[in-house]
Amino acid sequence: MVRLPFRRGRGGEVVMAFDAAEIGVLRQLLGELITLLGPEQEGAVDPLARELGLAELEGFTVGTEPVRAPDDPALARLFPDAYPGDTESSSDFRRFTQPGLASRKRQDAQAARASLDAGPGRRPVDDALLHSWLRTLTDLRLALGARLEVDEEFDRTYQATPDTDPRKPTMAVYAWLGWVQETLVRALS
Amino acid sequence: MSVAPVETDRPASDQRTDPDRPWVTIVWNDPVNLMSYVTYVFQQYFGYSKEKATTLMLDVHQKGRAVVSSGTREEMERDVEAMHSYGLWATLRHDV
Repeated sequence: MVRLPFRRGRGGEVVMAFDAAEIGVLRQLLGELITLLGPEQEGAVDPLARELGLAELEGFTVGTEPVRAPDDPALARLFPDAYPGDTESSSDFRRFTQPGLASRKRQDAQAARASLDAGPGRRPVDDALLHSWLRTLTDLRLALGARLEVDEEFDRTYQATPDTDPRKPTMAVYAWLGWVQETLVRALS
Repeated sequence: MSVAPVETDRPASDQRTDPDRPWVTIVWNDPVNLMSYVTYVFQQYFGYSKEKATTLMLDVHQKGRAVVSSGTREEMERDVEAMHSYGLWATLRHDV
């Protein structure tokens, strides 16, 4: 039987199983994603507002400067414009949502990475961690997909790309991540 | 997803616009997200049935986009932010 990265066990629990090589690849990719997302914006939250539990309220968490779409294509895909053709509304939306979104994406990547620390082997994963994996696998694929300029023809392009092409290993990782995520969605559904 | 989007004049939906729910959240096709994942997100976040979630996913996949929810501007901004947290390419607009 093929070893699936995620599988629902007989007792109903979802089991994760990566080997040492896969763990190495995932740790590196998740580290790169965390770097891409940038440092936590500590200064963005007024400490008093945080103390009072107001950190989520409008006016305490956000800057006043316009926020442009990121130049990096991977970041631009992770944080798309909410109002196409309306720069001002898109900028406002970014000011209010992007720090929180980036923080949650960072937490998902960190939780997934920490769950690899136990090393290879089969282990049950709780629901919160499974959903962190689900979202961070998406973020990894979106970031890699932007770097590789993946389009609807990816499968064909991948098959047609010779092994000597420097992009081939990254394409293989991207394709593998899609399979990993598919097993996770299937285990959750 | 994996088929080229077909350009349509209006978001792919047979939902009628309710004057009290004048804003809509639109999810756009992208070549990365898995069809199974998009369906799962629609079920999880909106609480849609598997059937409705699958229909919306196929609209996104085949027509290039679909209206997935409607409501006030604040509600739609919340939905768009949630879709972004799942990595879906979502936008909102006033549906006049």
